[in-house]
Amino acid sequence: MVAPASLDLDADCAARAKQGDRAATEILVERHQAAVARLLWRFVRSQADLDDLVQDTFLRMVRGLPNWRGDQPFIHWLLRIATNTGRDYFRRQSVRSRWMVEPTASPTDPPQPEAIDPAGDPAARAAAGEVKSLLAQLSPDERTLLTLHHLEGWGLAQIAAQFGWTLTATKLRAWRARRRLRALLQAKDYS
Amino acid sequence: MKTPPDNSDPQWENLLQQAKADLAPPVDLPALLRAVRQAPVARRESWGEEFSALFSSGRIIPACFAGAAAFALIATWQAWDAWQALPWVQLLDGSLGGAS
Repeated sequence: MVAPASLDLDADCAARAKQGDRAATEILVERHQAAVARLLWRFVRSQADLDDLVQDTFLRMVRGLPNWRGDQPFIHWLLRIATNTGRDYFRRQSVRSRWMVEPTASPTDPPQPEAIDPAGDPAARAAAGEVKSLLAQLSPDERTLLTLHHLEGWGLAQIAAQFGWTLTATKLRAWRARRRLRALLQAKDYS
Repeated sequence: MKTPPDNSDPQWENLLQQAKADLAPPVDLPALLRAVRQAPVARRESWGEEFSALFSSGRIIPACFAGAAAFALIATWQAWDAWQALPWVQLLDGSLGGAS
């Protein structure tokens, strides 16, 4: 739940940033970078990729500010940009793994040792890595859907609203994605 | 539709619970702010700017093609209209006892 005063500050800063006020833009970045990073961390496995996606999200925010309307909380609009950035990242990874001739790191590979950041909870980091590499074997949309559903705890209605899908189509996608995930889990002797 | 396949075996659920506890590392905020500062500020263009952009140098050739196509369409339509009107003109001419 976002406090009304916080919403007012966001709306004020966004309105000023729309007019080209750099200081207001920086306030928005400072206020929301942690929330954006927390969400995008579910999509990536290395600090470098996280930094890239967070930067991409805020650059899209700057470009999109003229189209922002105050009829929704600023943070909702920003997180929508972030989820689209995450989905585009999955799509790029999917295309790259399909078309690259020379062997490159696949999204399902564990990250290189130098790419692993010191985690506060190594067991949680390892578990997250395992979940992400399983989900990486799904299509980009299915991967996005299950990443948000399983790791962020979003409901299907929220995901549908986020991407402009109908609820029925989202349920169907989720059903297919779970069926594929089920097969992957069985192949990995999870059940 | 059938019931969705259930992924809720205890081992998978346990893995998910652990994965959710994984926290994002801190972002390099100074680098992020530098990148945002360097980004050009977007602003909504006025209708005058949008209109003049239609005739910018990059769009002049497609604009010429579009104009030529529109002209050809209107000219064909007018010629077709006139051709259809001709027998009626002759009939009208005959009924009035045209002087020509």
